[in-house]
Amino acid sequence: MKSARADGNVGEPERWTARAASRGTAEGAAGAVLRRARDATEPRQEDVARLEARLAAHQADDSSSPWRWRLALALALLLATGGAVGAAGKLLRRTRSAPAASAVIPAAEPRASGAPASPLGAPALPAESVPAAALAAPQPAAVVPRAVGPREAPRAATEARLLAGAFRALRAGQDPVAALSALDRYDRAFPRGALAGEARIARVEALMVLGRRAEALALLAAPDGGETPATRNVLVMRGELFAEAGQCGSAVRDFERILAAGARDDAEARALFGRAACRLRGGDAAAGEGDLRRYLERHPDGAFAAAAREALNEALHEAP
Amino acid sequence: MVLSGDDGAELAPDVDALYREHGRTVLRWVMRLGGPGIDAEDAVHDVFVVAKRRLGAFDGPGKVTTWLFRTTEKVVQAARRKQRLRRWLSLSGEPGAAGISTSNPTPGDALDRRRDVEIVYRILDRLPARQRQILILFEMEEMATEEIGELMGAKGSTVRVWLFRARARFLAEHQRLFSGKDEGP
Repeated sequence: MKSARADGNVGEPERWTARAASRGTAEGAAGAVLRRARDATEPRQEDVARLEARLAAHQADDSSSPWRWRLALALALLLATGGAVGAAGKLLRRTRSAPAASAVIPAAEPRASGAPASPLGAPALPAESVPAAALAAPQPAAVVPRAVGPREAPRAATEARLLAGAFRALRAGQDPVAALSALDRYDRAFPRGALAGEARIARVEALMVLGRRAEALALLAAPDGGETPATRNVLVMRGELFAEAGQCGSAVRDFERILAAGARDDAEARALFGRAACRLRGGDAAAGEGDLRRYLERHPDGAFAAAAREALNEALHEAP
Repeated sequence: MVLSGDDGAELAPDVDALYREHGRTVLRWVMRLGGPGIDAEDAVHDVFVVAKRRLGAFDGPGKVTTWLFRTTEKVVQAARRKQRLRRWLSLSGEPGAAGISTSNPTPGDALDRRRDVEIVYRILDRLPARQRQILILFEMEEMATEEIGELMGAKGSTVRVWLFRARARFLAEHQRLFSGKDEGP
């Protein structure tokens, strides 16, 4: 696209982004912030290179992969579960309104000597983490229904319908047992289904609701687990489950992947607190306390703030 | 550009050519129209998925850039709808995932840039869709109003009227944000 700067159209307004910020006008201030946003959203060479690599990889396996109708299925699934979304929203709001302390899981392991109490237990798993992870799973693309061929469509619809049934049982019906039954039916009908990743997340959600956390972790940690949508919520939840199971090495790896993104959100808060727990559990008190202080700096009113303060106070009293 | 039939394998080289010529532009459109909350890589991927499937249907006489822009626009709209749904469900939008380049000289610069982008999109997201789009195309894409009119199927003079309104709304929201009277969307 050519720039309007050079075309000299009569009546063409002057761009705010072209104005000197020093004019001191409201338009100048707005132009300055727009200009900086414009510069920040200019793709860099590495952005383009990463995209090219992804498209090239996609091109390479295009002929054999079911990805095209996988996208269509994801869209169909979202549409099919649309009625459940409202219920999920209500569920999330209800879980969020519960006191933070009630979401904290009792310590799964004996307390290590000399280390603060609270963070040494299993890192808390806020109740909303599971639905959040599962809801984040379907990734529909726009305009893709055209990608479904005539013979693929009935299969796609059946697969989406089966999985939608599981999500409905889980969200609208709040019946994790029925959801697991629906997922078993899905697995039997589509052992290599295009939505296997989404089905896996739904199963994890159902298992978590039922308190079958070890099975949930096994699913998330399976090396041959195939494609599981790795959102931040899923990753931090897996880290928490690893920590709860005493596998702090794996837990810290997940937490550090979350923290490496540099974002400031719920997943980052949980990862920071979880890493503190693992470090303290491993005897690295200085690093653990550092994480707790960082957590309090970044999330002074966070769900784990009281536990972090208590742990730091204990550490202070126990110091020689 | 030679257009093939419906067979994906035959179409692929043309999509390659399309990407080579316009990939960077589509990425920029996605980043700017989508804002920081959407996954720009995913969206560009989707644009070219659609392009690959529908290239056979493109027979002009319109410009291929116009056709690509409209596809981008639809893909971005879908991504933003999903982002809004996720925000409504408090899933956040995987912050930092896209929209802002990570190659910054210093952490301080990166924070400033992120803040500027967030401010701009916080304001833009309060504008009606058409006004939002026009401001992005005019101020950030630096397109002429006539060019914007071509993309949007409107006359340049009409676009200038829309731009006038969009600017007034942006300015009001910008001032509200910095006057401390902002109470969120």
